[in-house]
Amino acid sequence: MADVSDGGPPAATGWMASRDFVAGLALLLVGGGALLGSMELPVKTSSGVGSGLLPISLSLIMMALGLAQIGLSWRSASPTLSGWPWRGTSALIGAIVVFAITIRGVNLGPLQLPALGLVIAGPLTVFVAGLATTDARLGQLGLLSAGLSAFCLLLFRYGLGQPIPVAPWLIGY
Amino acid sequence: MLTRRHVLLGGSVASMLASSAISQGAYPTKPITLIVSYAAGGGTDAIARIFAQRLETVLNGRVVVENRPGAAANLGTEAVAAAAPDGYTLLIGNQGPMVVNPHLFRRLRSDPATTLDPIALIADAGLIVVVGPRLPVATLGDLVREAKNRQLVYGSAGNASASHLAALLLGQVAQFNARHVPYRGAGPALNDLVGGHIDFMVTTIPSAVGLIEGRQLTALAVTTEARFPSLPNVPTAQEAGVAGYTASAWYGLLGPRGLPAAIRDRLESATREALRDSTVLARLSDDGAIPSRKGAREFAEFMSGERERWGQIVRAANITLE
Amino acid sequence: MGDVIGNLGLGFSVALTLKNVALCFLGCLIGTLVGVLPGVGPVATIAILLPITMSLDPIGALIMLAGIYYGAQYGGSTTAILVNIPGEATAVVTALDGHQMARNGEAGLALGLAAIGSFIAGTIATLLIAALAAPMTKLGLLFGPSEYFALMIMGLVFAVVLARGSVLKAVAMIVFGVLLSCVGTDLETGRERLTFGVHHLYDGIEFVVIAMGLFGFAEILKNIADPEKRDVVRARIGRLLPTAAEIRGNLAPILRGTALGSVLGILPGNGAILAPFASYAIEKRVSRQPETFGKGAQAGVAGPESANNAGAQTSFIPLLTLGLPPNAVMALMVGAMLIQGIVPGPQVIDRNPQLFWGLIASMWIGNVMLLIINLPLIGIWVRLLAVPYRLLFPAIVLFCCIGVYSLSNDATAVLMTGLFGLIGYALYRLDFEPAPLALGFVLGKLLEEKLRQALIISNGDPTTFVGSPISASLLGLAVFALALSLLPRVRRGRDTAFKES
Repeated sequence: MADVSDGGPPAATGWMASRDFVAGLALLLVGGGALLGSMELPVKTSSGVGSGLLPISLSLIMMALGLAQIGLSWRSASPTLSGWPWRGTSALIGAIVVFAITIRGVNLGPLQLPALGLVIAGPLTVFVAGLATTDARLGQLGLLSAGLSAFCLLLFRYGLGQPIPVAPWLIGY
Repeated sequence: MLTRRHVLLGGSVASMLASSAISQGAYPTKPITLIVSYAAGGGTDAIARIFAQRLETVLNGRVVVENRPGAAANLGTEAVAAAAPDGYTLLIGNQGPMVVNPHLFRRLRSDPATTLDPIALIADAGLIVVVGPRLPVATLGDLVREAKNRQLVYGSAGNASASHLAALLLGQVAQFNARHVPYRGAGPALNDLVGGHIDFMVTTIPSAVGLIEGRQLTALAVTTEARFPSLPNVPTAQEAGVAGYTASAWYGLLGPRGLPAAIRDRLESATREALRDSTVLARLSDDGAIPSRKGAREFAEFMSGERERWGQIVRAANITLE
Repeated sequence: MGDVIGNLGLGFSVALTLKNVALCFLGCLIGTLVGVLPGVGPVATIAILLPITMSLDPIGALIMLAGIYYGAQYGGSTTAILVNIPGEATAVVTALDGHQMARNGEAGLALGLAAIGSFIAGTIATLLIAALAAPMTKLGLLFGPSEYFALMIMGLVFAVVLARGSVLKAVAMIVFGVLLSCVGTDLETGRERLTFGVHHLYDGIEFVVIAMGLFGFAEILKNIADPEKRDVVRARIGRLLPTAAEIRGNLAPILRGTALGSVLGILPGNGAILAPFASYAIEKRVSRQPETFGKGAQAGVAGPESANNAGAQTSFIPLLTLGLPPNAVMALMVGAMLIQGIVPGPQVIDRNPQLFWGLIASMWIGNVMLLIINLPLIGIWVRLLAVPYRLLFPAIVLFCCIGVYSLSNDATAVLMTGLFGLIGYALYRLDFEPAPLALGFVLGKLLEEKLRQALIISNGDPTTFVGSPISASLLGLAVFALALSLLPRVRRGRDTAFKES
């Protein structure tokens, strides 16, 4: 399997770093989080089912499944988890965040950014995303980001009539 | 609150610029964004798109419809409230987010009454009381009698939707108590009404008119003050014996608070002109809607009256969200 | 039968005019292109095109809009197969084995099977609509909340069958999916649930956001983290079209899928969503090599794709016979009819027989068009995969960002998609599968909604679920299927665990 440890050093050792133990732990955490988020909801109403019944019981089931998974991982060994691909994930998520904050700007108290529109957001997104791989070539990536953004602009704004901001700082929309 | 003042300040500069522009007769000089608080494809969206198309001709400029759904249609209100009051960001506002939501949400981020400027009411759409095979009655009076005898079950297009509130109001006026089954939209609710799984529904006229003509549903009354042209045999609630029962869903044009008077007047007259167009009229009448002549001031008065009225119903039924 | 032929004859005389054929082609072409783009989808496209269609006559307008609808369905499958991004719930299943086939160098074969399966399904479904629209409408009306609830329970059982690996992990993913479907306001009481105070979660999470993140972005992360594997796969371009023998071999899955899709398509509230999941579960069940499922099984593409297309087609029945739209696209068709001055409802068939039968005939023509458009396109799509991955994936990222943004013109949705991409990759590393999660999410909403609607109607009496013969037998079937699939699965599960240790 792809996730069997090969290259990088294992994040921890033994059972606690085994795939299925971490999987169980993740279920336990998600279930616990959901339980915290839905604990205050009423379980019953006059008709029978309150808004809390489903989320609360599902959270409990999820936590039970997590515990069971942890138990199973003790009994049958699963591969040890290898390192997390930091370069890939940070470039990809970075590209998405760049798109989200530049396309129509941000106005969150201290964080202020004007709307830059697709003209800027498009090339930036492609470029940052392209850095995710080790075989990225900057020149090619630059060309791609410009060409692709122009294509998307024509396609989405003018072809499909989507009201996506083009360059508000330059042409007002 | 700093950001709000910031926006307002920016807005007043923008509006100064805009009013100097309009005095030279140059509005619009760039595309106008018309925000719809629902996803593309709904009833409000359809009206907005046809209205926008007509407005383009009247104003001689681009009008781009932008869907900003989310947070029970409050996101659209917020988006327009935060925009510069320069006439380039406008809202198609309807009853739910404009006058009902302020009663439902304790933490409303932008109250339409204080952050928006009404420009003109576009149309007022009536609703209709219908029954299916599970409740074979012929008149609204029969329905009320049955409802007092045993607890009926009614469907709606969603919690606190116009369809739900209008049915609640019927119960309050005619003094009966029925069980409410919320659906996701009028379609699935009507399906269960035709299938005989629920008793009655108060719904928009276009959603039910085909089923009435096809004899799958029986229309008992329209909720408007006058009969509806395409259903001349269906009485009004007043005529059917439930006096004082009227309800409607409406759409209007609004902008951010602080619109320059020149731009507001231009948009008000443009709306009036657009409402004379036969395609717009035909589409509105398909929706059971009557084009309105209310301008900025009358629309504002109408909105505060509606807000009061639906507030009472919401409080009496004890509906709260959040 | 003579009636059906006469009526179809009338329909074809209307639909086969040069103008209507051209509109049908245009609709299918626009639909295919829009469907291929992740995120945009037919609803937004039709909504934007609606005012333009006012200048067309009613039949032409509806034929074109219908073309966009099934064109988009098919285009969505293309994206699911090529880059593992299912734009709609129905394409999730196609992505499972279709994308695996693409990774095995059989992208052309997968696309060809999908096209031909869809065509056969569309042809049969068109005939069914023409012959049995009225009785099928009655069947749809029998499904009230309690029957629907039972059907959803059965759907969740299918989700367990869908899983390849550990049953526990599959169940956990279904539960996770249903939990995610709870996010937002509660339909009945309006209470905010699991939103953790985040304003943008108030109306719940969009399916596209979850699917694009869990499948699309996670797939990119997988490929980036494992460059050797990805390039080896992409260097191979297999045959473009299936052979006659391969089509024959997949005829049974296609026909089974068509039957399932045709029946589920007529249910109110978009029951068609279940069809591809059910088809996949059945094909895996009856297959002589169930272990190939999830690794590129041809029947796992042909069956669900046929089910999908048949369901897309028969979901026109409630619209045509009652005027009730089962999904958002159909709701737009209602709007289109109204604009044209036609009141959709039971009377359309008598008052506008030309429109009614013309639209049905155009469905078959639309299926021919899709074949004409898509078979040549397969070559282009497959060549697209030959583009070096380091250039292909930034393009996919941009298309996805714009697509998600245009869903609600809101950048928050884009951020959420990124978050689900991370979750999806983490799930992959922990050996969880996203497909049961997607199904749980889709069914979860309906499940709770129908449960509570049924209980309000029965005034809190739970026997309503066994009171109706339909819901009782569906629930019985679900229990039976669960028992059947769990028993050998426990044994097999132990075998694989044994192998790994």
